[in-house]
Amino acid sequence: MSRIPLSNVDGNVFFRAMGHRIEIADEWAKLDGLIRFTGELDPYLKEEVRRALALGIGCRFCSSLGDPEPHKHDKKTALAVAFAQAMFQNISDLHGLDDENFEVLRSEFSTSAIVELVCWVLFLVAAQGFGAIMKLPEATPNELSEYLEWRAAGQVEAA
Amino acid sequence: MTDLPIQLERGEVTLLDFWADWCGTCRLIDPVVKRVVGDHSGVVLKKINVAEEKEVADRHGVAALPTLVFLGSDGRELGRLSGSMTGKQIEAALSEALNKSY
Repeated sequence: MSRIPLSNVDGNVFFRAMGHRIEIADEWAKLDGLIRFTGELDPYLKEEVRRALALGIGCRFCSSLGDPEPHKHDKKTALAVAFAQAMFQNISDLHGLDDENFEVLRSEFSTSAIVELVCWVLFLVAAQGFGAIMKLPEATPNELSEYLEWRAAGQVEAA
Repeated sequence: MTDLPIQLERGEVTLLDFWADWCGTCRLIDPVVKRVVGDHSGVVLKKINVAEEKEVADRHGVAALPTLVFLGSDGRELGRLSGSMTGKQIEAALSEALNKSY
């Protein structure tokens, strides 16, 4: 049971919760797609970062959209996920992140890819924080299949 | 316990750093661990690749990576850290281990 009644706009439970301010919800969804499907980082890497963070942030809706697959990670994805987890664990003291973390990131990613990763992590913390605060329920089978279709279409367009 | 790399004096600490190739957090903290250890003269760092030294990892009950195990000169465990960690946390755990080692 979510903490607020859902709006009547079309979309999944997340969009309907945010849809009480439809201008924000529309731009939020656009920004999600923009970061997720454009740029240097592979959409698979970004999805794994999303899945890994969802567990820690406690957004049931977000977690229900897929479990992390650490056994499938290449070195870049493993490093991006590790950095995302470090950012989240230090979210109340971001200065506490070690400078050396960026040296390691630079060995694998360009500056623009690092910016993209940091933006994605911060966007996810906000989005999944919204889901956790509103106590949004797990996705329905229909919402899950729509999400998977949206991701697949976005990845095709990105490629 | 036979994991001490050299004969240590009382008050010194060995830091066992359990890692693996596929572990992103291990890679992320590697230079941080080296910097923190480098700041202390009485600490010896021993990197242990769990893929190559599984029995050592099992002996120390390593269930997650990375894991840092702090050992006194007599091989006694003085503390440990696992998972994502910062230099501040490693420094605090190491200071505590050094205090316990006397």
